[in-house]
Amino acid sequence: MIPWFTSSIASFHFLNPFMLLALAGLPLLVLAYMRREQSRRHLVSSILVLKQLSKKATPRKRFFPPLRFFLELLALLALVFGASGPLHTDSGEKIAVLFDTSLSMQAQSTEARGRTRFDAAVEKFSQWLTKQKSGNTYFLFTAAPRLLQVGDTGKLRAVNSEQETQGMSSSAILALVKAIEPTLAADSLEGAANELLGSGRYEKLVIVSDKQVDVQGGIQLVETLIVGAPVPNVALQSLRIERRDLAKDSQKIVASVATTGGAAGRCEVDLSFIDLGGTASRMQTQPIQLPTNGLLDVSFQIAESQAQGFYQVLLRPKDGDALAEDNIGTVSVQEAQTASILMVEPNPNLGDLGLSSLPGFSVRQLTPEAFAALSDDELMKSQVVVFHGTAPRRLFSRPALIVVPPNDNPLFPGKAEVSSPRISSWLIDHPLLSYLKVPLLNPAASVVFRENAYGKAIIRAESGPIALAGEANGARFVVLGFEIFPFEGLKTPIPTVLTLNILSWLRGGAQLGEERRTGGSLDLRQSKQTLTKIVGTGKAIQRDIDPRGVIELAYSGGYVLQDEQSSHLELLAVNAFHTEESDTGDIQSIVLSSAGKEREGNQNLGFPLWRYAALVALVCILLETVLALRGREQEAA
Amino acid sequence: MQDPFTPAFFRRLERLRIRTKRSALGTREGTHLSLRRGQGLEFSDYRPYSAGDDFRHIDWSVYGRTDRVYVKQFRAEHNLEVMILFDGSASMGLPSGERKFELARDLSLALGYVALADGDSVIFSCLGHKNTPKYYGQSAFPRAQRELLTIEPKGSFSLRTEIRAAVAGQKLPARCYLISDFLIPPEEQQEALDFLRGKNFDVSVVQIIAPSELRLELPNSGTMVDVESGEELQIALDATSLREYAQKLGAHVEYLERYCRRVGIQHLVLSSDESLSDVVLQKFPKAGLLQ
Repeated sequence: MIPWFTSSIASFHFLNPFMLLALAGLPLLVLAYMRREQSRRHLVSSILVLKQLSKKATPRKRFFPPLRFFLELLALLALVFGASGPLHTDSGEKIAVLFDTSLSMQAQSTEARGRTRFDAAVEKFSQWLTKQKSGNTYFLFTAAPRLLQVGDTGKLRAVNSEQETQGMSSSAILALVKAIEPTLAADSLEGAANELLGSGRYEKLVIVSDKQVDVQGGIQLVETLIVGAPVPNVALQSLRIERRDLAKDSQKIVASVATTGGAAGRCEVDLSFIDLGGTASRMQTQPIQLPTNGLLDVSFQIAESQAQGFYQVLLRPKDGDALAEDNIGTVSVQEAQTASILMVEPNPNLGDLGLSSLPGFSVRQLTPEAFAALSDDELMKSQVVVFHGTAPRRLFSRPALIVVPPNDNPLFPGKAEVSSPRISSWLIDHPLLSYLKVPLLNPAASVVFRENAYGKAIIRAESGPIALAGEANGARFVVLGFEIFPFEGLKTPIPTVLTLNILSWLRGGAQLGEERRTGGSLDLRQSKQTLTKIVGTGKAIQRDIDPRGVIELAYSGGYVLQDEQSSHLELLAVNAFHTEESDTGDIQSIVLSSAGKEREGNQNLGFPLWRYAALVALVCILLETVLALRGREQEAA
Repeated sequence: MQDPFTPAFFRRLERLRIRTKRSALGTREGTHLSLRRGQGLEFSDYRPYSAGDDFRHIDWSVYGRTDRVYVKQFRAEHNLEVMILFDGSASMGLPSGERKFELARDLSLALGYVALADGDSVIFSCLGHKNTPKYYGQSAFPRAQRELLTIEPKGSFSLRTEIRAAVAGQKLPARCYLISDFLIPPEEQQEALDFLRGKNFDVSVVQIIAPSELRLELPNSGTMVDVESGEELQIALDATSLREYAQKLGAHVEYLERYCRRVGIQHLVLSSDESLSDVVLQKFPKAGLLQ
C-alpha cells in the first residue's frame, strides 16, 4: 500500500508547483461560508413553535455547509491543481543518454593513467547512475558520426522520430555503455543533442563527453558529464600526393602534421607501402622537430609508377601524444599512377593533340569506330576519355572531355557556330576556372550549345553556352564548344591552365579516387561496384564487408572497390583526419538551442492532467450555478 | 399609512358599546348596570316605605293588594372601567412589515374610543412600556392616540409580571382586553390570564398572528434567532417540516383557545393583515367583545 502510494505521488510532476501555494487560500473559502452563515441568521418573532419541530428540521448547530460549498471547494481545488501544471509520468524519468564515442574520446585521460577519456566517461557515467531514481528509463545514443540509438542488443539503429523506442533500466544501460566501442569518426553532438531535445520524448538529456555544453535560454533538461582535460596531441591532418606537373619535376607524398595542447618535440615519420595483400614494407623514415601548437608539412618523394596498393604514413612522436589513432594516414597508389587518357578522334592524322606531353598522363588514340568496339574492360583502364570533334551517343561511367562536338550530336546539340564569340559570363567559383582569366580565352570560333539538361553552363557567350560541365553515371564530363588543343604547355598558358583544370577536375569527381574521412559513407546502391575488403590500417583490421547498400566507412585504411563486370579495381583511402577531434588541447563547447526547444520538450514530460482538472472545475461550477439559481428561485417564491 | 380613525369610522364606533358579562362597578354614572342599587331605570326590588323615600317610587299596585306601602328599588348605572392591555414586546414588531403591533395598537384605540364614547373610563397599557392615565370622555381620545403612537415594540418581559404591574393601580374589577401574539409558552399564557381572572376582570383575549408566521415563510435553512430571548435555533426545513409546523402552531393556538373557553374568556384570533374596521365593526361584535 505505502510503496504504491509513494510511487504514485512520485509519478506526479508539476510544471508550476508554486501555484499549489494557492491552496493556502482554502480557509478563506471556509471563512466566506461561515460569514455567509452569519448573514443567514434570521430574527424571528419567536422560535417557540420551531423548537417543537422534529430533530431533523432542527439539527444541532454546527458548520454544515451546503452542497454548494463542497462544489466550490472542489472547483477551487481542481483549478489550483490544473494551474500547477500537473503531469503524470510513469514512475521515474525518461532520460536520453548521449554518449560521445568520437575520436577525441580515445585520448589518454588525465584522470587515470593508461585509460582513455572514454574509459573515464564510462566510469563517471556509472557513478552518476548510482545517484539516479530507480524507476528511471534510459535511452542510449551515440553521435559519431551521426545520431544513432544503441538498442538493447548493442545494435545501432537510426533514430526514427515516429517510432517509439523501448527504454532500459540503469543496469542495462550501464552494461551497454561498457560494451560499446568508440569510433574514429568525428561527432555531431550539437545536432544530435538538439534533435533529442526537440523530439520532446525525454524528460532529461545527459551528455557524456569531453566537450562542454553551452546551454542558452536556461534549459533545465540537460546534464553534462565532462571528462578529460587538455592534453598534448600530435596528429596527421592531411595526406596528399603531389604529382609531377609543369611546376614540379617529381612526384611526392606530403603529410601535414599538426600539434595541439602544447605538444612539441621530436617525432619520426614513417612511409610504408601496403600491397593489396596487406603486406606492408617501410620505405622511408624522416625525423622531424614538431612545432608547438603548429602545422608542419613532411614530404616523401615516390616513384611515379608503382604496383596497386596504398601508401601509409605513420607518426611516431617521442614525447606526449594523446591519440594514437590520428597518427596514421593512408593514400591509394591509384592516385599516384600515371593517368591513362583515351582519345577518340575521327582524324587519326592529328595525333594525340599534344596530350602525351602532359606529365603524369599516357595517351591512347582511337577512332570513333574503334572506340565503339572497345570492351568495357578496356574502357575502364582509362582514367579520362577525350572526344575530339566527335561525341558519344551516351554518357558512361568514365570521366569525359568532349571538345568541339558535331552540332547534331544527341547529347549536347549545338544550335549555332559563331566566330569570335564574345564571352558574356562564367561561373567564377567553379574549379574548372581556377587561376583562369576567362576573358583571355578569346576563342576564334565556338559551337554554341542549346540549354542542356545534362550539365551546367560554365562559360557563356552572348549567343549561348559554349562550355558545359556536369556529372552523370557517377562520372564527370566537360563539353567545350571551342578548341583548346593541341596542348602546347607554357606556349599557350590560357588553354593549358584550362586543360589542366579540366583533367584535374574530371579525375577528382564522384565517388572514385577520392579521399574519405572515417565516419563517412559510401553509397553503392546505384553503382556496379562492390566493396571487397579492407587492407592495412593502423588497427590491422581485415574483414569482409556487406557488399551492397550504403556502407559506413567506420575504419581508417584502404578500401578496394571491385567492378562487377570487369576486373578493374578502385582503391579508396579512408582517414581519421578530424581537426576538431584531434585537437585535444582545447575542449570545445557545443551549443544547444534556446528555451524554445525546451518548451517543446516539456510537452512530453508526462501525461498532462490540467485538462481533466479544468473539466472537473467546469462541471463543479456549472452544478454550483444551477444550485444557486434554484435556491434564489425558492427564496423568491 | 392612512389613518384609519376617520370621522366616518368614529361615527360607526359610537354605535358600539363595550360588552361585558359582569355588572359595572364604576365610580361614575354610566350606562352599565351596576350591582349597586341606585337611580337607574332597571327595577331591582321592593322595600317598605321609609320616611324620606321618594313618593314617585311607591308601588301603588302592591299597596292595593296588600294595604302596605312599598317603594321600588332600582339598580344603579355606573360607568365601566376599561383596561386595554396590548403587547409592546419585540415579537410584536416581527415579521417586519406585517404590522402586528400597529394592528394591536389601533384595536386598542378603537376599543378605547368605543368605551370613551359610551362614558366609560379607559386606561391603555402598552405592556413593557407604559400605562396611560385614566381617560374619560371622547375628547380624551386624541391625547390617548398621541400617547400610544410614540411607542415602538421592543424588549422582552414576562407577560404576567407586566400585566401585574399594569393593573396594580386598578382597584375595581375592570373590563379587560388583552391583545398580543401570545407566542409564549402556554403556561405563561395561563399564568397571565389566571392573574386577571383572579382580579375579577372581565377578560377578552385577542391573538394577532402575522400571515408569514401562519405559513412559516422562512429560508429553508439557517439560524433563527428569537428576537426577545436571543435564543438561536438551526433549522433545515422541508415539506414535511412545514406541515409539522402548521400542526404545532395550530396546537399552540388551540391550547389558548381551549383554556379561554374553559374559563369563560372570549378568544379571538386575527391575522395582522386584516383591516381594522372589519375587525372592530364586524368581528368584535360577532365575537361578543363589543355590542
